[in-house]
Amino acid sequence: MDVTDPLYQRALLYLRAAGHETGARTRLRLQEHFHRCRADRQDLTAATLLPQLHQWFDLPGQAHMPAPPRLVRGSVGYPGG
Amino acid sequence: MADQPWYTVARRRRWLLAALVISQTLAGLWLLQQGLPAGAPGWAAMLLLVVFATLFLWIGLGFWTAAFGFFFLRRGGDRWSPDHQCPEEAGGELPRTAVIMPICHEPVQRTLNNLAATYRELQQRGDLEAFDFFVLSDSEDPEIWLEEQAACADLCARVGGHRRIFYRRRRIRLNYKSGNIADFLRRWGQRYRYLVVLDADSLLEADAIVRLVQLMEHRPRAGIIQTAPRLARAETRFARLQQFANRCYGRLYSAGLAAVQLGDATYWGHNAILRTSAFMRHCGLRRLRGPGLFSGPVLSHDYIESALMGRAGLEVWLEPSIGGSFEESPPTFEDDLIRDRRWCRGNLQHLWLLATLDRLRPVHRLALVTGILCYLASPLWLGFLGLSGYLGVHSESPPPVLPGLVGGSASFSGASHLLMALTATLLLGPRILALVDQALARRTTLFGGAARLLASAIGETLVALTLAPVRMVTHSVHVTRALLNLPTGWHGQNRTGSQHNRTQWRQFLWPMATAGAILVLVHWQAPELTPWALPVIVPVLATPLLAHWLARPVPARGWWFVPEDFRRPPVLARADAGAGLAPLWPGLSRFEQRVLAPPSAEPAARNRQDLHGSKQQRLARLVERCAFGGSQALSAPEITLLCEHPEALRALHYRVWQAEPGTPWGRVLERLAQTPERHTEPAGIGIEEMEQQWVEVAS
Repeated sequence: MDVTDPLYQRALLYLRAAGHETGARTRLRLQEHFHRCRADRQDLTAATLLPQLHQWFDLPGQAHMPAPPRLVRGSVGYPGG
Repeated sequence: MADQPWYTVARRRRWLLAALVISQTLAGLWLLQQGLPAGAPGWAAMLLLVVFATLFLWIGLGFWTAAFGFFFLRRGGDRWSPDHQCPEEAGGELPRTAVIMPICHEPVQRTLNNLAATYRELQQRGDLEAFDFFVLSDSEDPEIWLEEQAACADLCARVGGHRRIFYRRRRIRLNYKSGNIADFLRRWGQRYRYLVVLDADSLLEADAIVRLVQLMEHRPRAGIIQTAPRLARAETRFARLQQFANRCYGRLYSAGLAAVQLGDATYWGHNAILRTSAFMRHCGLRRLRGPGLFSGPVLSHDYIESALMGRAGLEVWLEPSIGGSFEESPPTFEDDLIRDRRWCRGNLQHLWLLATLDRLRPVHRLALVTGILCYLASPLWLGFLGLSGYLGVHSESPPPVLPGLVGGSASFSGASHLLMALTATLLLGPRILALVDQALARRTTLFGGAARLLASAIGETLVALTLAPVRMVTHSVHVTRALLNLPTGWHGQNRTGSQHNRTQWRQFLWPMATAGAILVLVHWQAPELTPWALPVIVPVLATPLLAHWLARPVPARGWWFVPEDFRRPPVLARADAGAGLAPLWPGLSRFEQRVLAPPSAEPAARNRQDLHGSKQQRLARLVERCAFGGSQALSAPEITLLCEHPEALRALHYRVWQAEPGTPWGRVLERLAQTPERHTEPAGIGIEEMEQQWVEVAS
């Protein structure tokens, strides 16, 4: 496979951005997926690639703040009212 | 409240204080009258006496409060203070308490390191179960609040604070800090019996927090207990001076204040514990509905909140004997004056509240008046000097030999000498008493030894005297601007000195222009007074140079030592050791990072927003515009709107990852490709590493 393929490079960059390691094993796996898609004549474009990457690799995603505790509504009293 | 045993004691002490202050003022008035020049215009002399009486009352109050503090510290403390009344308790289950930190455009890394230090201390003490931590943001700039969110998430990961540390940002920012806290209380206040309020630069030791909770438990009528924060972590000359003054003289003032106020003390807005239910019931702050300055949100909320608490029959205590409570000084003189501009406006608003709020306790009324006088004193001093000069010029006596009040008097008599001595005693007496107290308490070694303590005090006094005219003129400008209701910005405070720049000097232009005009006027009308105007005018004209010198950092072992320089409290060492959140991808804005970072596989249910109608259409348009034009195509409010809607952000995320080379997002992706590979570990510093650093620093 042509490793200078822009789509392949974009996929690698995405994996990096997701915090996934991009060593030889990952690259090999990614190339296999590319091969399989092309062999199956799947339309592999930038638009279809990203959701695929989430399926192929276990991407951690952004760390989010935990949800705040359950609301217990109260009111604030004002002087004179 | 009158049924409380402390109240009788408080009344006796307050009468004694009043008697001392009034006697000293009457003595000063008599001495001044003796020294007034013959043939002085009656109206001017009368006005001078009124202004003098006000100012002499004001400085006398400070002197005698410090004298009270000296007396009580020498006696080993005040037996009526909550800390003396409540025995130390070991163990026992602590009630639910929220530790809240309202922030607004703060240096978030530094702020969160403070919070992390307190968190880790409570964790190590084994009392964490009772506490939840809330970072309550009012930041508006998306670059800042996105960083806050990332840093909070990082902090949670570092200390294992999930379900214990929470971040909330208000979308509708009403009523500044008090509105932010009220917003928290309406949502979660009822979950917690107590509320520990921190400022962005606050640091509280776990022992201090637990002790505060114990004191509240022991004293059911206490609505607020305020600690006396010590200034710490000063790096610039100015901050070191402030820190030295706070640590050397501050304990006298706070001990004296606590002894006189007892259960009628004031709340300082942070480093304090509040009884949540009482605070919610009684301390809401309506927007003011008066004219000009007296309309809109209450800016200085803390004094009013303590007054409302007292009005509701609850006690407010100042407890200076609780150590482990720290805050930071503004790093530069300019920042200090900027903060004063805000406080001046807020304190002057209290005039309206004094007039409109009924049933306030007399001590709280007096606290509000002293807060107002903090700033009103400056134009009064200016007026006093002006009137003195006027009287000197318009008297029948020969030209003046000394400035101001003794000017023009043919008989520069014993009365004038005595008045000068009395004034100097009132102004410098607290400093001398503080030095004596430190020596008697054998605390001089904590300041580097007796000689160094004395040298530091002399240096600090000289700088304070030089800055006094600058403060006088600047505060007078602040008061004028506030009374004319000219707007002041409300942004985050510079806490590190890193934002020091030339534009900050702009605020000195008005005071410098005023001082220059006064000098010209004096020289034109009464050239013989010019030499006596110079000590006041020259420091003001030299303010930029002074401010620049004061903003310079001081070497670690340089000047104005304080006890924390020799024995670093662990909480400070922890906060200093905590590293910041490294930018995920340097060179990319926080918004670009947020858009590019892959979202979680499935958005949390609470984040899934089904938007219909015009809002959905607006979000779709924003996504489209940003996808084509890059982050610059959106305004800050639009970026905020996008980031508040995870579904829209997800759509944008997928769009930008399809960007062609050469387009705005394509160029961002190129920059991203050039950044070094990101570590999979959470950014920042590992807990073990932090602990190690802490041990090293502390030892």
